[in-house]
Amino acid sequence: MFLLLILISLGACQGQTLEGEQEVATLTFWTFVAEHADYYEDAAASWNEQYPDQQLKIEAIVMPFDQLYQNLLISLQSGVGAPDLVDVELGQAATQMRGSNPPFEPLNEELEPYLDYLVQSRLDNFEKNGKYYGVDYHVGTMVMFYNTEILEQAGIDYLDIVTWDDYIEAGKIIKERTGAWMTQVETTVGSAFEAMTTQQGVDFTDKEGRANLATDEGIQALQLLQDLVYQHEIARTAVGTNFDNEEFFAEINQGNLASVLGAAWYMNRMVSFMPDLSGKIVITPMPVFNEDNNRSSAFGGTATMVTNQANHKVLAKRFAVWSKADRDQAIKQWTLLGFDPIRWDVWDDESLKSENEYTHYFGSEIFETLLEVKDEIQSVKKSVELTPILIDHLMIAVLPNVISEAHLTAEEALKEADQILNR
Amino acid sequence: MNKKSWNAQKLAPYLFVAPFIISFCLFSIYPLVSTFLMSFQKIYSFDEVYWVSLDNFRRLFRDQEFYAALWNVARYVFWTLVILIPVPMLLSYLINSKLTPFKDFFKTLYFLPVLTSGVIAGLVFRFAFSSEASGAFNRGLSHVGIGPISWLERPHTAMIALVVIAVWRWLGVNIIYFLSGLQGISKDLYESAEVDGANAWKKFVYITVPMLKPITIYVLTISIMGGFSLFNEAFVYWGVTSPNNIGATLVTLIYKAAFGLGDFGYAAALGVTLFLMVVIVNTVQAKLMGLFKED
Amino acid sequence: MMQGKNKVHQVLSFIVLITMGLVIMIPFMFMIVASFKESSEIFAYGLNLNLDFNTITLTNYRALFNNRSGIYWRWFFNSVLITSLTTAFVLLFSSMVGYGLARYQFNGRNLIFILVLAMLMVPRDILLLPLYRLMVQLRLMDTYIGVVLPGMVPPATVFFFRQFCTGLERDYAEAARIDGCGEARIFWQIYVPLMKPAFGAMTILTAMNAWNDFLWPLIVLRSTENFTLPAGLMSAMTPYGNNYDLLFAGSVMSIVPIVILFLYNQKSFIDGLTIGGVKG
Repeated sequence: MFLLLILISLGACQGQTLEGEQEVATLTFWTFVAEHADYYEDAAASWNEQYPDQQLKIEAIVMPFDQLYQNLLISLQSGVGAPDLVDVELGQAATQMRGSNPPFEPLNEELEPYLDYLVQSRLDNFEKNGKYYGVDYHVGTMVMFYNTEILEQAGIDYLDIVTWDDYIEAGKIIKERTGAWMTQVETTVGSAFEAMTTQQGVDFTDKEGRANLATDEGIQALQLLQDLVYQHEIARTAVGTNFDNEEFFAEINQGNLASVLGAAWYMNRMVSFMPDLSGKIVITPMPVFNEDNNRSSAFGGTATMVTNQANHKVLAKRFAVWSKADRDQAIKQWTLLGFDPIRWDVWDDESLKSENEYTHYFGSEIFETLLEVKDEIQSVKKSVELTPILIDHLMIAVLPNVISEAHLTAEEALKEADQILNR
Repeated sequence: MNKKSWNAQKLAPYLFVAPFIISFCLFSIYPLVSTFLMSFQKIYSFDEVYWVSLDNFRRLFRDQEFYAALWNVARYVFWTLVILIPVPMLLSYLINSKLTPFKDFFKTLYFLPVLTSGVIAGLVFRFAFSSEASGAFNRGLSHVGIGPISWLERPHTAMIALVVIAVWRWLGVNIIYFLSGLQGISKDLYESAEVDGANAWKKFVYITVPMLKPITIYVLTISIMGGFSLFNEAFVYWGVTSPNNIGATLVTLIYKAAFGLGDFGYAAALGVTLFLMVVIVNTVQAKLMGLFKED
Repeated sequence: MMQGKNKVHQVLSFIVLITMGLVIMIPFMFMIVASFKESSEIFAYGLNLNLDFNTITLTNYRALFNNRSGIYWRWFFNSVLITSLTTAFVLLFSSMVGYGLARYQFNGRNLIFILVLAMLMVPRDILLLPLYRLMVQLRLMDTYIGVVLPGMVPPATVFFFRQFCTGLERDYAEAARIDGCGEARIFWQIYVPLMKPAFGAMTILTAMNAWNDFLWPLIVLRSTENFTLPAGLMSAMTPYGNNYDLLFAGSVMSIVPIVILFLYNQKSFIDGLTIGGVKG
């Protein structure tokens, strides 16, 4: 009996953060990207300057992706241990926001004043039943990064590469003359496949939310990726399986590949992890299959949401919206993170052309490049209920069988996928 | 006897077994019934629950992943039995033989891996099975001229990776079990066999192995149970998503359904199915063992 | 002749045992060696047994203290606490129940025994989800109790004690009753000492299982400070480059306590399994 009492009191003392009435509100923030944590600490400082009577402090925790979202799910469902603010990546949105009552605070009210200036499609990604739950960090414009040093060595001008056929030809020359791969293809992230499909104006699901991967366009996109590796032999599977880790950064640093198809936010990684290549990388719109295609796409996205377990809900909501949608903050998405900002009205602001580490690295016309394609960005709809299972299937069956190894053609894999997903 | 002690003696057993009863009701029966019920529901959150009768099961029977996991578990159990019964038996025989010095040292040595956690073992072996040429196993193979193998990306090598950990970890336990079984074999049997001219091998095959039958059945049972419950090592190797489901096990599927996809109803259906399979296997075992004729 | 043959056998079996032993030890050696190397070296060269005495470093072990202000030791403490609590309760309750089932004739005795056996069959994993929900309802999420509570009376341990106790002499109990001893005293003062080998064996097994338990604590414990060692070490695989330092040094350290416990209890452990109910 006595033992039991001791235990119960021990248990009660555990893991309860005492959030009393304090002058400075502490907001816990979970993310899987260290740079986002930095962004928020900076945002907190700026907020405190602007609103000295509403001081806050950010406590950021950076966790691996899987762990973050499994944890979040358990915490939100059990009602214990969820953070105040959390980054929710687009692929996870459908899972975390499921049910008719997502465990997040709607931000419609706070978003009101900013709605006219924000890129609508990015807001729609995280909308449910008329409520907006989070604001993204960026637009996610897909561009091609070229290592001009390698290209020059092979005698190629990146401006000549307009279509994917041009890309393949250039790739062969580069491989022959410099030994470098034209690119590497990710096996645990489907960004290239997505971008190359949506640039043709097509989605992964149909209007009823059923899987529709095996469209002509989708097949063409995936087959091209497979051919890059196995037919033309100008690409290999990505070292480290995707672009966002140390092993892959090393590949770029060592000059093992000439180009990377990535979202604009990848500039952030280059500046942080590949400083020696400064001045040697340019960004351009994507190559196309034919004239009608978009030269870009929007991939991924991460919105910062306020959970229903947040302390200081009002403050958290205001801060969450302000930290992204406020004009100066939006500008910082570029200057601090190298992301294409979520507010279209800042895109032609002077400060985006001025010198910062990104222009220094990539040249001063980067924003013009992004502006060039701003109306050509379409993304895969990820708020469909099928989304998590669809993405899972891509990871488990499509990418391994088409890219990691060439067991199946793109057509076979995608048709099989549709069949399985739509059962 | 006076009335007081008579009452106490009557009451005592109930008090003694009370902890089990309470625990059983709260933490076994209630959850079991709950799982069963949940398997017929679609659950969005604790408050938002819909009754969908057999939908989850229909989905399960069509689920490629489920069959992949089942196949993985079956193969895993097969290989662990094939290796982890004869080898420990033999080793324990060697250790037990009166000619062997340092018996206790060997017992401890082989038991050490058992003490490590599946997570830690998984982490170390995951590094060792790296697909890069610098991985421990790949380096070893390069000495015999075999190129770097992508261990954790293909089905056959993935199974090897899982079985290797299993053998490493459970060799010691099974040795201990067999050792204890060996203690129960009367020395006279061996002596009379020697008199009849039997050599070491014959003694092993005709005396040791048959006499170890009860223990062997016990080890068989727990190995099968262990196979069904495989989670830690697979989770450390791949998480819940493995290429072509080479690393899917029944429990990783349950975990994924529940905490990866938030579909508790489906996870419960998987749980119920796992439970039924286990019950069937165990009933067969029990009949073989004659367990119900006990005491 | 006979002698010569025995000698050959002896040497052969010894060689086999030693070789197998070395093979078994290799992963441990990898771990220990890796714990003394710089992360970058492990990243570049993988695991191996090369220990260049010039590059040996203690930074990894220091990192255990420095990394996130020594959270590793918090995990260590959590594991120790949970393991101790679990082991204490399991030993207490299982021995009680096993004793009760073995020593007394009473209504429902067989039924209960069958229930114990039946629960042996149920893999804990299928009970996870409702247990999780129960913990939420009892408001025991993220607590040590929440972790310990469901596993306090494991059927396997009960079964073991029950088998063991059936082998013990009845007469002591009778004699003690005649002397006026209460049932509880009979249990504590007479039989518990007799069950020492069983306790020895079950201490190790229970502690080991609790120390290494991964999944259930992973679900119940929500704050990083409350993690147990397995969960904490898993979380050390960070997004950008793994914390190899924390991982290997941390793994080595986490094995130490349980090995010590084992070596200390070794004799009674093996005796316990031998004498006890492991026979078919």
